[in-house]
Amino acid sequence: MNTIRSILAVSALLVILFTFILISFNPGYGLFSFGHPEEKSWRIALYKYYIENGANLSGGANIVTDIVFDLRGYDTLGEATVLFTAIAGALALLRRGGAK
Amino acid sequence: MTRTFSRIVETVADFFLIFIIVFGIYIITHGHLTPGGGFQGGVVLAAGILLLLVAHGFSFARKIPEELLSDLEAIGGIAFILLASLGFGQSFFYNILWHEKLAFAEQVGRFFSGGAIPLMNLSVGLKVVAGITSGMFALSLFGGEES
Amino acid sequence: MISVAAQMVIQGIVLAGIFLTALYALLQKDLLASALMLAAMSLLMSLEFYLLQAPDVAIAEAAVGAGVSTLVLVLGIRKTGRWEE
Repeated sequence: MNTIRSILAVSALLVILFTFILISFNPGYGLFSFGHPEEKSWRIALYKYYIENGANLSGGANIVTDIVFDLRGYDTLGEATVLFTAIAGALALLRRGGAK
Repeated sequence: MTRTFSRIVETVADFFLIFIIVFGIYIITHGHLTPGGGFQGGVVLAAGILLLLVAHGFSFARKIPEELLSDLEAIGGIAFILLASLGFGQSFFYNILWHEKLAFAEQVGRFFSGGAIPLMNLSVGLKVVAGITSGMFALSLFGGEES
Repeated sequence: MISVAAQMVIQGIVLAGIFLTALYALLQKDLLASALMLAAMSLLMSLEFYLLQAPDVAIAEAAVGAGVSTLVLVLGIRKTGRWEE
């Protein structure tokens, strides 16, 4: 049982590393990163696009909520996961009928 | 041996709880129109409930069952994922309620607009309220209830 | 509409308040007073966020910093001891 678990953990780690390598050797990866000479103009174009079309793309008048819940929804999903994991850990440590 | 504050603190906490809860519900339900959203309103609501906890002593935390809070948090998370996966025809997090004019599809700026965004605000608010409240209740009951 | 100079002055006052409250919370031996001063610092920080036109972040900062975080610190102080040794 223990060996199976360690094999699973190591394979999960390998999958994560492989994904990172795959992403970072992608030729389009560093294209929009800091330091590129035209990065600032692209960023400003993106801001303008969000501000002008955000309300029509997702229907909310508050553009911050549009971006957080619709255009960048994965961000909110990650935040919810972080909160869930933190509460689960706190409850597992501090639960009422827990081990003394 | 739960030591609580005086009657004045309890009364003031009970009085202001109403306004805090109304404000939190306003922030959650108007998240797509005015500043705020699910997380902010949920934290405001949780702060109101925890004000009650501080004013009335820690034994207040025993009155609310732990399983209820855990279930509410799970319901919020599952509702968020389901709302996000409604738009699997296009992609994850595609706002199909708004683009196909199915529900919450009035003009931008009206209350019933925004497609899945108000519903996501509600689910995230529920999740945050239940999560923070259950965590704080567990922390306040940890290590005996003296003090 | 406030002029730019007045905005600079207001933000300078708020930032000085943030710095002074943080310094007081750091140097104080009474942990309860320190926690309350951190709550005051958080309120000033939310005012600063509001002045920088980020009301979403201001609401989150006020609720988390002045509400929940202060409660966590007060809970810890009530569980352990009030004075720093």
